[in-house]
Amino acid sequence: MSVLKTSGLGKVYGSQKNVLYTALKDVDIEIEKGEFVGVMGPSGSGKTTLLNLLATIDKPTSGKLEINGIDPTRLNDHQLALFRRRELGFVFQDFNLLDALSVKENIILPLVMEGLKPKIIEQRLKPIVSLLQIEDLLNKRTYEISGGQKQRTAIARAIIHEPSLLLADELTGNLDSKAAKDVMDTLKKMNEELSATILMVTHDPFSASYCQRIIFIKDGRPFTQINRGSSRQVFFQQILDVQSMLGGDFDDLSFPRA
Amino acid sequence: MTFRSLALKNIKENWRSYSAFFLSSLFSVAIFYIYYAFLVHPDVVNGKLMAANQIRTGMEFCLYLIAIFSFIFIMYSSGSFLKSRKKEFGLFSLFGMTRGQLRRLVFIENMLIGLLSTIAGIAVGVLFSKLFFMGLGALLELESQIRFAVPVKAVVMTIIIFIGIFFVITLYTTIRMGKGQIIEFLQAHKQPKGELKFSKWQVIVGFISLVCGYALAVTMTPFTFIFVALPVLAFVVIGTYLLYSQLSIVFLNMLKRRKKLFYKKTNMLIIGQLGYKIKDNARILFTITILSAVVMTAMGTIYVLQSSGKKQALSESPYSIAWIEAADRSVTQIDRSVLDKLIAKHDLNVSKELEISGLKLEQYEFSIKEITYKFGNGEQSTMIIPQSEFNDNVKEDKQLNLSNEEAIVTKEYLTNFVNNTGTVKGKIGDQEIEVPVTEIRTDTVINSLYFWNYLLVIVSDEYYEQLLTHANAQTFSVHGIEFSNWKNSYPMLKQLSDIVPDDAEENIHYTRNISYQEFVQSTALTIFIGMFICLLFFIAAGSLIYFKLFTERDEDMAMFKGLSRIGMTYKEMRKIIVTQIAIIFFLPCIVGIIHALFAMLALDSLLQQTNWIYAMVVFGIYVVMQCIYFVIASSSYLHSIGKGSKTAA
Repeated sequence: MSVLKTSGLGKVYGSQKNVLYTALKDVDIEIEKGEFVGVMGPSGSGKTTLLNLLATIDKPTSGKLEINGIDPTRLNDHQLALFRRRELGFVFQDFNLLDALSVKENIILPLVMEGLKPKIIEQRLKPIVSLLQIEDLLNKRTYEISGGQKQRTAIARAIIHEPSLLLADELTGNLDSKAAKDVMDTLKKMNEELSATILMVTHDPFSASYCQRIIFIKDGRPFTQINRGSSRQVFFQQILDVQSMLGGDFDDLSFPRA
Repeated sequence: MTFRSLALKNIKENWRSYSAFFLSSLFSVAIFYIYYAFLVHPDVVNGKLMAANQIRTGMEFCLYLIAIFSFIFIMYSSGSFLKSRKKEFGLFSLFGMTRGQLRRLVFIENMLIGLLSTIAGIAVGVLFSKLFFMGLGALLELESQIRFAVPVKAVVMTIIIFIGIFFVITLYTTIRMGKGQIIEFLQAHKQPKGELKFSKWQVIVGFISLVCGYALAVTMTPFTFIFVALPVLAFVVIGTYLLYSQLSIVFLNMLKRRKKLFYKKTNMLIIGQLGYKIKDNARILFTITILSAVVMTAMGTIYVLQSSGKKQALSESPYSIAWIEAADRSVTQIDRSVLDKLIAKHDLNVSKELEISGLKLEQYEFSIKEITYKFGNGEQSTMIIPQSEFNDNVKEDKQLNLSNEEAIVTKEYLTNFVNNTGTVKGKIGDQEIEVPVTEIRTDTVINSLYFWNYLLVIVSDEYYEQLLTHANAQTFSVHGIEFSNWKNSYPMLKQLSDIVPDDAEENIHYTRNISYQEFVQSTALTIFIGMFICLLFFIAAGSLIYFKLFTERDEDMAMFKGLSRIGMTYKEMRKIIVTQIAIIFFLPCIVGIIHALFAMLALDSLLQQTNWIYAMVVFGIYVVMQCIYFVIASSSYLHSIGKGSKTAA
């Protein structure tokens, strides 16, 4: 069963003087349950636009989008918010954790917003934090923990409500290489042990090498797609090859978004 | 794009953030104008409002007070307004705008807003001045209304003063804002939030202070007032500060521990953030609480003094005019026919007349037994009346049935002695008498004339007959007239005062309505001015919170942007924002009212009377003002956050 299915998805931005800019065109993606998919592409290729469309915070101008059998473009703002809350999980480059809440409170936020009983919330929390190895951090405040720990907390928050699709946006962009490896290992574990479906947008070939499959986009269109074999090392080399073939500027680490 | 058009465009585009500054300036201008218009109103200047002449210097003093207050208030508003736009200025400088240009930009903007709010403020002031004059007319109990007028002097002076204020403030802020690095501008809002800590000792001290303050206030008596008043103030001030900075954290931590409540939907975010909001704003919340408590208590006190003064004037003197007539015509008095003519001339209706006759008790001395306290120094005289005269003029449940050889003394302010007894001594004609006083009362049947009937001694009819037989016993009668429309009697009584011969002044009492009128008007005017200052204060309190709110907007916007991405609905966001703003707005209001209530309780035991209805009116005005501010603040805050989080997505 496919969790995500897009056909002919496109986005055209129109400016005031009717100068149209095509950010995304004819994107067909299908992701099965339990898959771990990466999206890569040079700057300006339309990665962020694609992610925004999938995250339902932007609307496509053409094509079809279906997440877990639901077409989010048909929902109103309120329904969309609820849809995001129940069906999607998000991990951001800048963590997006709330300073005012403790680590534990940040993680359980989606369940609390759903109105679950405290008992059930505690039950759901336990297995996830032990899987992510953040039991000791639960009562800490967000400014007391490291970047890697923050991102693992964010992953816990994104996964605790068992979303059908986990969207990750440059989640290692703000981390050093050791922390990045930790976080990617964690994400992989989520994928393997909880069979979470993950779509990750990234610049970083190393992070991308954790995926099972990578979709490259260029100038707003899918360019190519590569599948991972058995070895991550080989996959990593393949990614670098495609990147050099694509050209463009891959090294621009994106600025933290304001 | 010229420089001026950039400034203009800035105002147009950012109207929401400007509107707070604009509105609070506008209110200051409007209030100042209304007050000034009243001060130079033809009716006031011509002396038609007599009380206005009495407290003219006070009123002028208040004008300066309002001007100074407006100055400080506008300065604060403009300061926090600029602070909320630091980032924007940082960007301008980053793109190469020189300091001089930046200053010019801010100068043009601020002066433009100043000019607009001055004009709009005067327009609003003119519109509402009629309403204020009507309110004042009702307060002063005037028959004719104060005319509607737009004194040119008020308009011109308001414009000059406020343009001056805006000029000085703008100059000051533009000079100050040039200092500091660009990086500071850009990072204005980035600062991590530390853990909410509290100290056990401070919590305990805060709690005890509040309890002590309240307990002392409630148990205050007129005798302990001097020793207790200052400690109460100190306790409450300390307690309030610690309430916001310490007790609030303890309280919120308690809420957090109640999982069922804390883990209920938006509660977690509301409670989680509230601690920081309160702690960050502790100083402002504290200041507003104390000031509002002081303002409300002061207003309450003035009103209580006024209403008790009014009551006292009427209870002391039940008749508009009272005079003495002696049987032997030995007393200089005013001719009744002259009096009647005056009454007719001024269209007064006599609703009640009274004549009480009694004996003159000379060289009296009234001593109260239990506390060896004496009235009368043995030189003055007072009046003895038979109980039948008394009974005819009081309600049935107050009537007396005395036995021989006992007396009752009545005087309205003997309230502290109603449970005591005593003796009254004196001379009737040539004979000395001494009678035990079995009861002390506070009833009044007739106006008190100092040289004739300061105390009223009542004896049984039989004993009175007996006293009449003493050699050279002098009898006299006290007459009283009351009008149904006595509130209009002021001109007639003024005329009467011109006719009364000098040697008859002590034999006639007609000052009740005159002093009543003057008292009512001067206190009403004091209340009216107090209202102005209150209003200004309430506006300031609301604006202060409003501005403080907007300095946190960027932070909140970032947070809600993140939250809306992970699926928070607009409704939930609104609930969180509105609840938090409501708490920030109403917390100082509620705590201030509680403080004021305890102060009124203390006042109650000091003056033995409190007008709770009036206190409620003052509280009500405050709450309504805060409500208006709250609605404006929360809707514009919501709007700006909503807009921000949408465009950012």
